Amino acid sequence: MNSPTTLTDEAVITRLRRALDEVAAAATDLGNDAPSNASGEAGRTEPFQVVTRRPTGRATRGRATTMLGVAAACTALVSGALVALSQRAPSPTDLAADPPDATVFVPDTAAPAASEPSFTLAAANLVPGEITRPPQFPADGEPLFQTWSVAGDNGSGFLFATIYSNRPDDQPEAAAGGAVEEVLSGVPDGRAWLVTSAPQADAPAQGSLWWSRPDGSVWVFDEQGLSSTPQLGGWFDVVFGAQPGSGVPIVLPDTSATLISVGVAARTIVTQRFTGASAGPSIGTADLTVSDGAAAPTALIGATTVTPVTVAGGAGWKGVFPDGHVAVVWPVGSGWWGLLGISPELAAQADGIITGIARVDTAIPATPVAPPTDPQEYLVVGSIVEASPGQFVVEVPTADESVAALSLRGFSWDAVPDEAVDDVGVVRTGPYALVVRAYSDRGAEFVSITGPRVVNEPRDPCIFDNGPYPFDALNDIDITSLGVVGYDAQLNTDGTCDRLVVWAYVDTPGLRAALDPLADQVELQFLLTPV
Amino acid sequence: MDDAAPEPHGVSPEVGFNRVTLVPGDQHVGPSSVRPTSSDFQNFDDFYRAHRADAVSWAVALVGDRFIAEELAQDALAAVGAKLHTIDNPSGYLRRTVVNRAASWHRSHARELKRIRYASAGEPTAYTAETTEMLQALTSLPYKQRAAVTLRYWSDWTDDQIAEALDCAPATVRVLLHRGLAAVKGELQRELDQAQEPPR
Repeated sequence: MNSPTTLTDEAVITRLRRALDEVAAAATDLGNDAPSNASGEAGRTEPFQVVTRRPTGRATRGRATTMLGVAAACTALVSGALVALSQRAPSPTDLAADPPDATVFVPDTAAPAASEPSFTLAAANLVPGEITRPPQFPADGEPLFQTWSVAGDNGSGFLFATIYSNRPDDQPEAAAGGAVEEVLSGVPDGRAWLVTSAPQADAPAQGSLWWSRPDGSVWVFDEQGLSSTPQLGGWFDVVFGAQPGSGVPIVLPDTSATLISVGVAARTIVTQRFTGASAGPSIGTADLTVSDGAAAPTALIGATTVTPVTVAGGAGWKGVFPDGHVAVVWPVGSGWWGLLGISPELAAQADGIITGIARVDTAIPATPVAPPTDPQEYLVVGSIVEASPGQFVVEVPTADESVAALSLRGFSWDAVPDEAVDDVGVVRTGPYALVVRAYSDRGAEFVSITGPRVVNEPRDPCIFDNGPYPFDALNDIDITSLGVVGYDAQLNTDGTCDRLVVWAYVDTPGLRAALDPLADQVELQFLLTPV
Repeated sequence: MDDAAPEPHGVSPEVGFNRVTLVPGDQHVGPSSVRPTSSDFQNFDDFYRAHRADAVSWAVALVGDRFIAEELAQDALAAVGAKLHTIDNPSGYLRRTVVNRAASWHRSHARELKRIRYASAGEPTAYTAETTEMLQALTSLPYKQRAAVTLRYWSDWTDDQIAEALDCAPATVRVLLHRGLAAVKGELQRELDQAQEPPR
């Protein structure tokens, strides 16, 4: 009989460290842990491994500089960093592994299934179109994708990795006009090549770094913003310091790198196209997409600039491309991503369009927002000086700062004392843009959505810190996705709260619907922000 | 602990902080603080970048959940950032803020878990068996014991740092460590003994 094992303090501490290491290494966006699909199948929960599957569609991904709208974003989703593969002639093995034709888009006008995140776009001059759901074909040899945001000595930007297993000696070939150059120094093991695309009139050549590793795998890296001209000593150092991970496929040595996605390509891509309503041959499009693919951030490859933006109350990134189009990418959670592709014709309105995105797959269904007939009529820059139910008056400029208050029982306006203005953080010099949509008793009225300066952080912690509060219904609401900035409550001496104020940046139908049952308890307020 | 800090994973982009942001208030309705100048925003941005990974890892130690840790850390960073120009020791203040936020979360975590149910729906339901056992053992500890044990043995805080964050004496920390570690060991030992029992 075995003698019983007795744990020592050292053993306990070792286990503690190992356990918390594992928890800490768990990426928030577990793209490989696929979320439930529309039919409710449970997602896969196996640990991250370099898998052997057939490649997803052999769609040739043009450089992101040529991508337009969601069609291009979808291409990035499906093919991800397949750019390197697309830059060489397909081998017989590849041809045999080609999946069924994945380019046949089957229009599906049904709303996304309940298990999928869903967004709507309320913008003044955009007409919503049909929803499409192109079929996806998971295949053997499918790569894994990893993306990091990097802010360090090597620059600020993004690093994208595509990981192929079992591709020994897979030397890339150059696309037309491009070049392949073997990297001869700095490669710790295996072989590496810099694959450069053909320079275009409005965009410099971009490089992908292929690293064929001794274990037969190939890691392909792309970057955005880390180096306009890839060269040794820059982002290569970071790449060549990468190691296989135990919890994720690749671990970077750069502590300034934050992992933002990891997993396989999309199983679901749902897109709705919005078309510019103005007359003329170039009306432009905005394609709004949700996807469960970890390759979504690759839509930013080739962007001239990438800036953080707020999308539907969450954080995302906006990339502006040399050809003028705009791509917006934001994590939705649970492995899902949102993408917005805006064609060059509408690029000037990108910030307003982005602010018009609202999530609608909430616990309480939201009401679609009807676009206003004449947005300019309601566009305001200034301060509210008078308001009555259903309307308000704005003077520009004015020295009186105010905060618009919109109760659920009707629109009203409250002047805010100077000290409260200080508290709110409204800067004392104008002008201001009212960045809310206001709704009158007659229905939705577009007011203004101008460049978000406030995001949904921090939420006010008082209801966390002060014990029970009588608004349990809020627990069932994904309040952050509804555009809520924070909430605060009137505290009683016993730590309970009897009145709640919800601070929202953008009013959305979903938010109003969610809070409506609490109308006698909750006051919804919106913010003014400097412009 | 290996001093390689946990890699800052997660979908928390390094958003810029050149914006007006509401911060936690005291006992009144409405937001109560402000980050008023662009120079402060820049300072906060630097502070955020320098401390985010640490804050997340501390919160992981305290709540045992990466997603919640990200949220707690974000809240704590924002709260500290709002007072950045008024405090002498931002790092120490951040440590204390993270510990306090985690304490609040523990007090109301049942409600909070319900609220974030959606957000964490796609995460794995289980870690390895060993990790799950350890997390359960930690959950059984009173918060201060848990904080002392995890911050000491995983985050490598000193007794003084833990004492400051928990608002107690260093000697108390040592008591918490002793009791906490013993309790965890007891929990794990029980699991081990049960596993070693011969089948009947």
